[in-house]
Order: sequence, then structure tokens, then C-alpha cells
Amino acid sequence: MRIIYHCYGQAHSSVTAANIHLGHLPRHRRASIAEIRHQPCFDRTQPHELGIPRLMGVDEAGHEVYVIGLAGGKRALEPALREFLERSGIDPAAFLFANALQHAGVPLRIGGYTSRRLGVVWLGRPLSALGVYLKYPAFVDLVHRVRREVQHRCP
Amino acid sequence: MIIYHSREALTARLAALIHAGRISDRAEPNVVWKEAEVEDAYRTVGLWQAGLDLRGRPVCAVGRSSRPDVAERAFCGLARVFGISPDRFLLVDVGPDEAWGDLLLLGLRQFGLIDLAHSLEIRLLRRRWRECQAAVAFAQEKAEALRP
Repeated sequence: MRIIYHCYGQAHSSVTAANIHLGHLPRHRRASIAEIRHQPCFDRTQPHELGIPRLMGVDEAGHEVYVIGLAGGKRALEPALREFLERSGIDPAAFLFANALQHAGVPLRIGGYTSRRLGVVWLGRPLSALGVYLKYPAFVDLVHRVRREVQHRCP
Repeated sequence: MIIYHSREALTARLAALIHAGRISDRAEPNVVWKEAEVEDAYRTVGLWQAGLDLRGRPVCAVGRSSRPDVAERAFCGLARVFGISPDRFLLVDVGPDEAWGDLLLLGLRQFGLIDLAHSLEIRLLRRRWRECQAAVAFAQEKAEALRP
């Protein structure tokens, strides 16, 4: 199965969820701001990469974990992409989309915009890390729900 | 599969309807408005199938609510990840990248000004007709290379 975490810019929310899923960030305690800042691919996506699915790794059950940024189109594009895959003959049980943006609070959104859009990394990156830190339990909860769903589909 | 995409679904639906042969060049805007299921066009509905082209390939439309390059990279990227051959689908961008007119119509509908939105939607469809025809001509030429 392929698990696809999606968010706005493919740089913070989806990357954090994927790294929690893969065990690069802790699942049973809140990660420190330093751990968040140094997680793989955090706050690194360039504008021209937006929309390209990135393989973050393979979890212990052999499922591939991807991140993708859909900019403002998450509500419209996610169902369209899902349907596109199904119409192309891909088994719906072979993939799972998870919206990581729902857990992005105001500091994370402002930080992400400042760093990725305005290019003020020295300000945006720490603010994004703080935003993830504040919402960390919600990201862990999302990953638990995704893992339960995956176990349900692939027992 | 041929997929027309626009900022909001309305323009893509018009192009898909022309491509699928469900409306003629001289169709009344009111007929088009009804065929495009405009009431439904602003919701999240995934791919909307207008019909089949002459070779039996599905012609679909989607409102991407995003930049065209992001949508195209997402479709092509996922196709690559899942091993879907690029000659199985064609993406066609139609309409402006940032469709402020469509967003205004969406706002009018949200405020319950349906009649006003309706009349403006018909004007919009008229204005975009030629653009959609050009997109369809392009797509029909490109679609020759698609696998059935």
C-alpha cells in the first residue's frame, strides 16, 4: 500500500506526519523543537517541486509513505486524484490519502508562508517548527488513525 | 482518458461537453448551463465525466482550485508512482489560472444570489466559448496519440 500525506506546500505538515509515521520523530512523546527542525525534508520544498509526490520512506510493514503539496486545491484535487487512480485501474485498497493540513495552526501557516513563499527562512523556519511543536499531539493522532486504517485494510 | 482542468469546474465542464459532442457550437447558453450541471460544479465532486469521445475514451472535467502546474504535476507524479503510462491520459488546462470571475460567482451563490449568479454564469460561458473550442481542438489532436 502507498500512503500519501498531503498538505499545502509539501514542506511542514505532511513532512511531519510522514516522519512520525516512519519513526523519524517520536510517536509516544512530544518532539522537541530541535528534533522538529532537523527532521528529514522539513521546510525544504521549492516552489517548482509543489505537486510532485516525494517518497519519504518505507514503514516497517513495507508500505511506501509519500508527501505531496496540493497548494489550495486539497478539497478539489484529492477526490479527483483518487478517482483518477481508480479509473486508471488502481485498486482503491492500494492507496490512502491523508490530509495533514487540517492540523496546521496559525503559527505554522504564517511560518510556512514566510519561509517558503517570502523566502525569509531565518524567521519562517523557527516559526514553522514552533507551529508543529504546538500541534504535535494532533499530528501523532493523525498518524495513529492512518496506521489503524492501514492495519484494517491490510491485516 | 482526457481530463480538462480549470480553476473552478465550470470552464472545464464546458470544454469537456464540447469534446464529448454533447453540445453543439450553436447551443443556447441556457442548454449549456443545464448540461454542465452548474449547481453541482462548485462542489467537491472529483472527476466529472461529460461522456466519451469518438474513440470511446472518457472525457472528464475537474475544478482544481489550485495552480495549473501544481495540478498537472500531481496527476503526472501519481501516475508515475502507480505505473500508469503517460499515453493513457491527457491533461488539458483551460481558462485563466486565477479565475476571479468564477470566484465571484461562487461568492454570489454562497450568499444565495442564485439568479444573479445564473445570468453571470451564462455570460461567462459565452465569453469562454472560443477559448474552450481552441482547447478542444488542441486536445483532439493530442488525443490521437493516446491508447484507447
